Amino acid sequence: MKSNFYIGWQNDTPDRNKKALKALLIPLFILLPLLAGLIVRYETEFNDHQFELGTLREFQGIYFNSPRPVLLLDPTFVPEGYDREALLLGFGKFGADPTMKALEEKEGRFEGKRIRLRGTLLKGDGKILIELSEGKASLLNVERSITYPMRQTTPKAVALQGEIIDPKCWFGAMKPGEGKVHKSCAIRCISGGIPPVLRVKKTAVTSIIFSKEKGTKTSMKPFLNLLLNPLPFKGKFTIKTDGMLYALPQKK
Amino acid sequence: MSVTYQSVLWNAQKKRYHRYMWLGIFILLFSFIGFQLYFHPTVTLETLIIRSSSMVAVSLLHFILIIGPLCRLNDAFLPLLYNRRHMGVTLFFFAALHGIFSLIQFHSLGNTSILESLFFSNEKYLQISQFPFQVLGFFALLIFFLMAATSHDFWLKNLGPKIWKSLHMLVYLAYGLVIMHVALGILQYDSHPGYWIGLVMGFLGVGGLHLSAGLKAMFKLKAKQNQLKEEGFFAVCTVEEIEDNAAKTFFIENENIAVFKYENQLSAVNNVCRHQIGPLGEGKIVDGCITCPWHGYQYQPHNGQSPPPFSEKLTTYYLKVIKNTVWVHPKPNPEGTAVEPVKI
Repeated sequence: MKSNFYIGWQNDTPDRNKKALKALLIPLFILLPLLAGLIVRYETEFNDHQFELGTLREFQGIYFNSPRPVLLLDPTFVPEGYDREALLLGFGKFGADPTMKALEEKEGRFEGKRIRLRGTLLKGDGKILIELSEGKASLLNVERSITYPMRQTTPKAVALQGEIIDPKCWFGAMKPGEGKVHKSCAIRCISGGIPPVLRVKKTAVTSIIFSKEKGTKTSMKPFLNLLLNPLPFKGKFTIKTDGMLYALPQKK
Repeated sequence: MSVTYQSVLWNAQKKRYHRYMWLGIFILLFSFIGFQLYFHPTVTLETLIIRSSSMVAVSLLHFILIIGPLCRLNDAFLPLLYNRRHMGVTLFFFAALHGIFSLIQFHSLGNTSILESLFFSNEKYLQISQFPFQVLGFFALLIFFLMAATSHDFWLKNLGPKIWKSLHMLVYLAYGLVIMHVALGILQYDSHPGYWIGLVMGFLGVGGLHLSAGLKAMFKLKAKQNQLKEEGFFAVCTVEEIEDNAAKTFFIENENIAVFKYENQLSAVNNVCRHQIGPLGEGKIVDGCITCPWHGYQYQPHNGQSPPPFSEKLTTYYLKVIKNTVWVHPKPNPEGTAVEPVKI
């Protein structure tokens, strides 16, 4: 006799259980894609910045380590519509300073020299960043014949408002590279020596990299606190170069 | 039921259960990934994995939590309960995928260890809006791990059903942690009101079903009070009120008792299954044995013992029938004590 009582270890499911499950599961399976679509549709849009993870490119340009390690790229190495000045970053959540310092100790100083590097490209908002993915092996060549002069800086004071972010993630390493979900990562990046960035909205200036005085060690603590502060950051800065913008909070 | 431990006791129903479970998961997973690539083509692979795995895990968690009350309200849904543990282990798999990828993405390759970064990168523990939400998800994942790791009957047997059940009731704490993890995390970034409505509706759905099932049980219990008492026996019902090969349950003097009618006789045993504290009184007599509606564990009605070679035992109770009224003595006999069935 076929029982109407459900027993899990038997092979057959009674008809009344089958009917109930059909009534529950068929609408559920129809609703699931609708639910997924609705959730995805209203997500905050990601930016179109790119991190070419896994792809190494060669770059050539003049190296400057002040106020931050950068490569003033030769024009042939610059994608159209992007600034020549590329901020150098370390692998993972680290700045490029330790790698470049170790390389200069080994190879001799090469600030102002044309160098060739291999790294991973990050780009967005007209800015280029290069991750030294291979650490000290990233340096391929140093042309020692010519030393280019230090860049002329034209300090000027400006008042700006924006959000403190970490540039590596904002310029493509992560989607999203901002906001509450990304906060802990941004703290790690800035703690690891990646220069904090002030993203300024509604002006021609997109981002400003906080700098440090040559030969001084700037504490990252205030920036970490700012990262945790959801309010827009206001401040007066002295802009030090005209390429990628570097700023120091003005001395009181 | 099985005498020896096996990783999974597959049968036709269990295979069907798995097929439908994975069908639902694949529908959700691939529609989510498809919509993500359509609406947000610049999404990274890591973000896609983190978000899609969390979507599946949170959906499974809600579904798992409604199975219990759904079955209490309508026993036609019992097949969902029978293999709920498989769904729980699957939930852990997706939650772990989400957690591991998030830890790697947000906390690895930095100047501290991953766990130090998780707990101390953001130390705003006293601010609701800035609260380090990932910590909440981490503790929820630990609970899911404990539950998945002890989900097998080996642990149920060795920990005992009460400890095992208490451990697995931590799922409600994990649910609270997940809700807070979502509310203080992604919803602080994607703050469309629809997300909040969805989260609150999910919570109300789970809570509402639990409340309804609780109220149903409470009304059932209240209806059975004010019983007559005589020489330690309580008058509980008439013989006709108990269906053949089924039971009626009574809560007397803190004893949860099921009185079964079968083969023109009555027997009373404890209403709580020794396997997972299931409601035996909602079961049936199958092949001469009381059969639990949750997982099919069986007991002989006259002595409360599982048929050999199984070893589970229930307490039994004395009964009598006077003028068609069933009387129950709530003093439990030692587990497995044979009591002569009362002829009717």
